[in-house]
Amino acid sequence: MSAHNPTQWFAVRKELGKGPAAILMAASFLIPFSVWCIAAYGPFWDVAYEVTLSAESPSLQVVHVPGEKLTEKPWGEFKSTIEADNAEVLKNKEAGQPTLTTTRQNKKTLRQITPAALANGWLDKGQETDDESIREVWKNLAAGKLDESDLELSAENLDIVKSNAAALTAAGTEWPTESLLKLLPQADLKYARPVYLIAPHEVALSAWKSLRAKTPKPMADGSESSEKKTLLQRYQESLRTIFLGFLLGALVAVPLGIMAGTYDFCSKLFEPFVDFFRYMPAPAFGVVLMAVFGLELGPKIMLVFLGTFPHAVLMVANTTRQLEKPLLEAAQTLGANQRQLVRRVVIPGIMPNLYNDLRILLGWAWTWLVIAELMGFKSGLTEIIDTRGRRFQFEYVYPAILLIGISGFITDQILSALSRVFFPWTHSSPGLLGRFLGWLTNGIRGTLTSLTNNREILTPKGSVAEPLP
Amino acid sequence: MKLNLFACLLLCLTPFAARSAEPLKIGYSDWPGWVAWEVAIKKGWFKEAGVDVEFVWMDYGKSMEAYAADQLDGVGMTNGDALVTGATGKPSTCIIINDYSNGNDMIIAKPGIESIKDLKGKTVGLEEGFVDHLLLLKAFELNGLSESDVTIKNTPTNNTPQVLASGEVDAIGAWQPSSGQALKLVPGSKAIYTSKDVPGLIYDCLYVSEKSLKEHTAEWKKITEVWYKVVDFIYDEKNLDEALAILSSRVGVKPEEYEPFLIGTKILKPAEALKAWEKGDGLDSIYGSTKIVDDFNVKYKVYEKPVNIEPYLDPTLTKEVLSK
Amino acid sequence: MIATISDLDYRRQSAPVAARFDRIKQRPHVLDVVGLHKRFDASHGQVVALQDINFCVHRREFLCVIGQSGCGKSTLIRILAGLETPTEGQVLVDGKPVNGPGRDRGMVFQGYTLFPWLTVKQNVMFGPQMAGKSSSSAESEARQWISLVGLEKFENNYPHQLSGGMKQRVAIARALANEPRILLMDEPFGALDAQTRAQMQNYLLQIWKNIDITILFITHDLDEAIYLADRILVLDARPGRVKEIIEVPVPRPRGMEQFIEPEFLATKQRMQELIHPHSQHKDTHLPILRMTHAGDDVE
Repeated sequence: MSAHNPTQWFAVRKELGKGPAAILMAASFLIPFSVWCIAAYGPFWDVAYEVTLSAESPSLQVVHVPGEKLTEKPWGEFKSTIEADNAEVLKNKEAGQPTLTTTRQNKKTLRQITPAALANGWLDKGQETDDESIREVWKNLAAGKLDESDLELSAENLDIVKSNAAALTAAGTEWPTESLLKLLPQADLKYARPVYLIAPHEVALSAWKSLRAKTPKPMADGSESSEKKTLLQRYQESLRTIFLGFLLGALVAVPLGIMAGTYDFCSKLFEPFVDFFRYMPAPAFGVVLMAVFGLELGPKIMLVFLGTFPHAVLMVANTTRQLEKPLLEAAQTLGANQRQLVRRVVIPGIMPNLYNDLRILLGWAWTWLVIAELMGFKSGLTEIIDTRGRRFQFEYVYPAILLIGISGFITDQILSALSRVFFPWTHSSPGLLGRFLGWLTNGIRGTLTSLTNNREILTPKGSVAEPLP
Repeated sequence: MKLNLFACLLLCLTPFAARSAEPLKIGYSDWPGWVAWEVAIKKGWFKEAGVDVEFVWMDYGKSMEAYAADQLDGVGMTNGDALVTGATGKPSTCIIINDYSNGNDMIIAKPGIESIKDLKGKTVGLEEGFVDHLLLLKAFELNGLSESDVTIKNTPTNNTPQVLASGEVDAIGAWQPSSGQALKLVPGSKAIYTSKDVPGLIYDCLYVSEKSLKEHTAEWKKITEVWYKVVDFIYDEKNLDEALAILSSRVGVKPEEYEPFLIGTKILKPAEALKAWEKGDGLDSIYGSTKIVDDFNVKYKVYEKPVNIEPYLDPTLTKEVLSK
Repeated sequence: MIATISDLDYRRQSAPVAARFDRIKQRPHVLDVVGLHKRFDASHGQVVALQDINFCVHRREFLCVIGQSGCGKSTLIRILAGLETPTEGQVLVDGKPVNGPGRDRGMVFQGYTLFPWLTVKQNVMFGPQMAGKSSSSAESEARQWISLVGLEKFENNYPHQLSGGMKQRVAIARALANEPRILLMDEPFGALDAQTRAQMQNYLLQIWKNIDITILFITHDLDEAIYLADRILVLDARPGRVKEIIEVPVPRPRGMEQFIEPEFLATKQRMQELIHPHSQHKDTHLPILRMTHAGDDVE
């Protein structure tokens, strides 16, 4: 092989070298990621109006709030509806029959300025419903005392501000009874990406925020606040569900599987039913599980359990059967009795494969997570995925989904690497992490041996330890 | 080691084994009339009233399932759905009328469909057998259509906005906040029929199990008292902003978006509640409404036989609380 | 070549060899096989694997069993080990009938059957531990057996770190650690390359010489059988029957140089006749089909 031999990227069943392998591994993540980026940042999408200042009208079916994105047509309708409302008010006023309204309605009309007031620093956070302060903002703005640095009002809106401020001043300390003019909706131009297409940086930002969020304080009376555990708390809940379900599955499946793989009696007794049972989808038992195990952790664990254990029994049984028979025969010729065969040969012999089975089992457990957590009271990451998803707040959904994916992936990688440490007698190739762990344990082992060796030198054999003074 | 693990596991599973000393459990979902309980929860009024109660936030459909599975002592249901749940799962008794639907339940059609009559031959996504199915059938009856004129796709209410947006169906039946979401998600879509057109068809109530009502009458009475405290609070305009903030945060919308929901939900003031509890044949009485719904359900084969509606309705506690 | 050795009868034994056989025959029987039959039920009816096998092995004797593949050699040794039961007949070790596997018969298998999760030392300790010996006494015994096969340096290695020959040495040590009456070896060197194999044969002879052990060794390699054995039991195939038991006239100590001595060749000749009685004159050449014109200088 010459050093200039170019890498053959496509050769039937030929393993690539470390360099190319690493490049491809990176690419396998980068390709989907760049597809995402292109889709999210690419100029494929129509123009959308992201509302910065909103307004309400009884003629509209819905209330638009700042931050919402509207496409061309609804935006036009929205704006014209508000303009029509204002025209109506002005018309009535000119006709000498001003439109009367409630104080609350006027307060709400004035509140529509708060996004601008907050952005420009005219109001502090927390003053969103402080109507007197908001009223002052209107007056000051009309008087030109405020600086519009971040969110500029349109010329039309400044006229409306002046007109309303005049009405407010005229009313003195009271609230005017006639209808104030509404601010016309304003918007920034954005791309109208589909709601589910969240740009990577937004996902990262929301993930960062969620991860840093502090535990919400319990309410003053000690009762728990109804919403909002932090992402990490939910993550813990999910981990608990997965782990307990997996543990239960493993505790039941491993002994059953080993027995079925060892004794034909057990195989014939268990396996046919388990084989039948595994075709029945676990979620189909949802209502039954809720009726039996309540609405909290119980049904969730049981669902993970039901989803994993039948496969696990069969898999473990098969693994056990795959233990080479000559090993058992050899042990028998060495005088092992039936019990010793199981304890000293079958169990240690299948350990590495059993470990792999359990790894796969844990992987399955993750796939059941979302369905499980929807049972009874929604819990864990699923609550975010489900509830936020329904509200189209996908910037919260994706971090949760990613967290599940990353957890599953990383756990599996770690377990796979640890297998090398647990089972030094297998041939499996160590992988990056495995090599690291191997190096680590060897290092520790080496240090320990050298330590004990030193001690041996210090206290030669046969010497009697001196009693302590 | 193995034994230890097992012990741990058992320990973790105990919460659902020992349910004896637990508080009363009430399932509530995103209907504004039930979200209103949130005021009392947030303000700690149940503790103040000395009643141990846990409100459990669930999807509407799931909450009825959980009730039928004996996991809840009480659940927020519409009067019609209580009959359906009773006929197919577990009967219950209404002790509080929270509200009647006054526009929040909607049949929303995609652009181009202007009225109920236009739905002929179209597909409608809604939760089959439950409240908005009833609304649709009522609308059909008043417009000379029948159920066979459309194809119904069974869809959980929370998913209706996405289903409408997908274009798989021509219309959906949903209530707020799902209906509002659908209107926003599908530009040009329109509510072609709402519960405002048939006020009193849908009463939203607190239903409790007969057993729990018998064993915990005093507690349920206290809960009723708390409810009317909530009603007073919400109807006081100076509290409105605070109430809106509490309610809207529960369902994840902005307070100003939530205000119209409260208009579409006619929360009954004490006098109105007492009036609704009076027996009558019309929709202004819960008895009349429930009977009408029962007839409807039988006619449209939601269940087979008419239900004796008397055990489903028990005004005693409300009357006791409000007569004070 | 054939002419020269056909003069020599494989039954003719030199005086020291004859004396040795006399001594062996006076020793007690370690293994007796009496009227052994084994039949299997197959889809196309009953298959007779072994038919009326009778033989004995004396103490410290080295007996090879040879035969074509499929003649039932493996079935025979598995019955002797107790891993299979005969349809008829009996196996006696020291006069006591065999009933399943036991510590009195050690076995070395053709494939590698070391426990991969145990180190060399732990593998060798396995038998003594099964017998309930404490791990310290099992360990010191194991060390002794490991040094017997010359693997002290590897006692803490796992089997996958050893070469094929080393693995089989460990397997021998492991079987011997139980101090069996007889060591059953089922083509133990079959998977090794020629060189390792020769080495292993020498090792085995040395071990056999140094300890009180009787060996029954299965092989299909004629040279191996003659080189190792006192007597060779030739099995006929289908059904497996004892065709002849040959007393090997090659004197001990054995060495590779004996491979060309007349006794050796005569024995080999006889065995060839027994195993492949008809193959000598038939089809020794492939049909000639010339497919090359390049460089006709290969012959």
